[in-house]
Amino acid sequence: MPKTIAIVEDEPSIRENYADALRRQGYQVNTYANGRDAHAAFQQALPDLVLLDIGLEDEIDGGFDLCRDLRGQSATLPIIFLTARDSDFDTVAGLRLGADDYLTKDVSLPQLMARISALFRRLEAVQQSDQDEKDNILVRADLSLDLDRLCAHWQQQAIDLTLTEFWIVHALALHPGHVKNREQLMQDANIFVDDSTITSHIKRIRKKFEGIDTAFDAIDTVYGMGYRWNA
Amino acid sequence: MIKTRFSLKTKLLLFSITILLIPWIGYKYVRGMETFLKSSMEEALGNRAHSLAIVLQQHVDLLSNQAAININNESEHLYLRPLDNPIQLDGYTDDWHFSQDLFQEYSEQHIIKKSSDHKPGSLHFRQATGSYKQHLFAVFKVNDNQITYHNPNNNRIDDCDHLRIALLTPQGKFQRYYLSTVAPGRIIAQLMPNDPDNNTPIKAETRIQGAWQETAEGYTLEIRLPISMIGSKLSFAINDVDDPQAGHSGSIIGSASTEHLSALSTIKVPSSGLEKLLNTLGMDSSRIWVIDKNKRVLALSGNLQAVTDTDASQRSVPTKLLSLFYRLILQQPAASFEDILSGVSKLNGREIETALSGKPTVSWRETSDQNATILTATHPVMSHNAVIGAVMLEQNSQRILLMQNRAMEELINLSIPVFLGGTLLIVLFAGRLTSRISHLRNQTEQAITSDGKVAHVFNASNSNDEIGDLSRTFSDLLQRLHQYNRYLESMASKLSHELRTPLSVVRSSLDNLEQVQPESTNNTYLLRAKEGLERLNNILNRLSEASRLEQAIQQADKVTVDLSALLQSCVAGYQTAYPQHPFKLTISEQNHKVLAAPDLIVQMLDKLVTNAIDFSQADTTIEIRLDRTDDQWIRLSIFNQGPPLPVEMQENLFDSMISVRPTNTRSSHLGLGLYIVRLIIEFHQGRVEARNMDTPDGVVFMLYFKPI
Repeated sequence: MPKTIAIVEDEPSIRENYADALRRQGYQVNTYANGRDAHAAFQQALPDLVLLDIGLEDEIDGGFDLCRDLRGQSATLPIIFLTARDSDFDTVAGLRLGADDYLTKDVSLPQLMARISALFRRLEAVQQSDQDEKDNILVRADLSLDLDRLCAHWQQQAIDLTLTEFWIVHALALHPGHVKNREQLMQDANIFVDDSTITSHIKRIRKKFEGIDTAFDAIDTVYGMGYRWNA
Repeated sequence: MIKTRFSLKTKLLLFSITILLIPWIGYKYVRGMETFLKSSMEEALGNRAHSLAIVLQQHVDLLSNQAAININNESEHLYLRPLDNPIQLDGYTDDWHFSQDLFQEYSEQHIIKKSSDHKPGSLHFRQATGSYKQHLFAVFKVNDNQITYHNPNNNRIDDCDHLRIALLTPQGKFQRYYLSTVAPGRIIAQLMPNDPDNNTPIKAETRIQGAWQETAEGYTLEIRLPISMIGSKLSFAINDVDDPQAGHSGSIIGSASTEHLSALSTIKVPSSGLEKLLNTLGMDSSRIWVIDKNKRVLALSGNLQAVTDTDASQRSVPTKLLSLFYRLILQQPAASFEDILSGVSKLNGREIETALSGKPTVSWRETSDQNATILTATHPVMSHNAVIGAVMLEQNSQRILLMQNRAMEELINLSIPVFLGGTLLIVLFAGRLTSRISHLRNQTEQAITSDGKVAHVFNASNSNDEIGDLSRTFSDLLQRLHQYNRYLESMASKLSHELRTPLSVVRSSLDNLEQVQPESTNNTYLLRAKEGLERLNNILNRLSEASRLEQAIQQADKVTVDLSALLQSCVAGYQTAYPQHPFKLTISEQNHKVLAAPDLIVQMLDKLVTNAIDFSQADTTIEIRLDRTDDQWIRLSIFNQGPPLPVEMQENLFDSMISVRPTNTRSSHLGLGLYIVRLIIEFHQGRVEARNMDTPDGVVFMLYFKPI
């Protein structure tokens, strides 16, 4: 049975473009132009993944409200914000509400597909927890990254990273001691943003690790070049 | 041309001088008042003369009592003038000197009896009479070629030079007295029998006393007798005896014959009734004359002198000082003046004649020394339709001068405080205005930074006047300017935000096209569209970078950063990133630690280095230097050998949307790079400047940090 993906987006061209692309991938796609329709539909049945815009027609923060409701209904439902709003404030707000990723609309369709499939992969991996877990785990001292489930552990404690953050950590930790500049990190994380967005991603990642281990200093800033995983 | 700049305060002060016009107008007014005062004084004096005349008409008895007898020969009337001081009965005439006009000349034409041996011109005398209190005084200055004294052995008293007095007592009794002496000195009168031929004295009359003194021309005789003895008639006669052996009286000269009652001269004794009446009607510094129709003075009351500032003694010290000042600037009434009329017994002049002809007059005259002006009013006194006399009132016009001075003093006393108060008010008001305007100017000046940004909008004044209005307008203006600036600054991020959605439509459509028609993947047009899309995306990212940076700045935490370590690391990175450019890093020995957000510093350096690379040719060295300025600021300079900055752009190089790059380059530049540099350096309380260099040619950007 194909996965159901809900797109809540008030701009019809974008909505239909995304829907077409996803349908070609074999997903079943439901589209909603505003928060009310989407909300009504989600009351009936939850989709397997939701793509959310923040501003929905007359509701400035309709996407945020919808995200809160959905998270209330299901803790595991993958939610991706796909929006034109790229300020740090919106990003942080979106992620706090429990979104799995926050993408700006300049993301390319292949990048979007990669994320969606990654999220579904993680979901499946979590559900089939007993499968060969050894193979796809990257361990760097206190860090262990489960590449199937797309989840990270630091000193055996789970760290709730978004998809982008997970890929950045992975890109850094894959070759410890090597400096990764911002462009490389963007490629690896399947995003294209400006330098300061990378900086704020790194900042958030550090904060999440410091939340578990206050002495965390594995990510080094090499001024003028980029970042490096401290082995 | 030098242009003098007057402040508002000076201008208002200059205008306040117009207040001085008030005392000037007052001065003019007071001067103009003189005419009015004079005419009202004339009217008042005329009225007083008129009412006085009417009063006298009702007391016509007082006048007729003394002047009823018709006298045609002037010398046959004795006028009794009140004297100002008593006469020393000593035979010297010094104490009469002020009454020269009282003297009446008696000579040949007054000869009553001529002796046989009379030599013409051998006898004449000058005589004056006056009264003081209850006595009549008379003086006789006799010119006599031969003085003959009485022989005490002789029974007859007329064997010598002597004075004869005949009078009618108030009781109506005819009395004759002779005064003779044996030697100069005090003498007393002898009562004589009524029979003129009987020359044997009856008894001595001690009430009539005299003093005899010889002079070069003859002798002087002063006598005194009580007024109570005198009725309506009195005569004096000098009897000159040259030969005591002749046995007969010599020549007699006198006012009238002393032999018979009918021949006696009339005399006017000062009437207490009339004087009293005049005194009650009298007024300060005015004089009342009553004359009969022969222009003889019947009564006189009052004094023209003594016009003084009466209340001067009651003044306090400051007003005394003030009055001293007024004395200097105002014409003061003369303390004294010469009064030619004060001693006359007969009044002449046109006014008197007009009055006696039945018409009242009012006229001015100046005193002989020109010290004062006297106003004279005359009025006839009528009785039974006939003029029986006249009154003349005189008043000293110095009173007017005094009143004028008073008014002037009042005026000055009033206008000085008004002027001072007015000026003070104007100064205070001007000061307040000036300070408010300067305050507004300072506020406006501070509200806009040197590069034209609105630093803050000041609180508008809530006062209701024009300055308050101006302040509100300025505040409003700044508010709007501020909003507009904010709009301009936020336009970039708004634009990028708005463009992102249509861009997304294009991108997702192109992506879809690629998937639906895989053969189009390498289509030239699709590739070009994607390339354009990339560039557009790039532009949008740059546009929103500044606004994102502003957010980042708000969240940024400052930590202690060693700029030298950070710079070394960065330059190593730049060297790998831009291998075509040699980098030269110079770091001075000092401590370069600052409180900063390292990410932001790096971002700022990135911008400046990218800028330096973009503007300089390949293989030219980018020089980076870290040192201290003279005033101990940390200076980070980045030098490139690029083309110099246009001079006119140096001021606003660091503003949003300002770019000096040639517009035909392929990569898009929105002029936000240096704006970001400015935002970051301002966040660190530092400053940035760009300067063209000479040797070698190039441009240097200098960042200044405050050391810890």
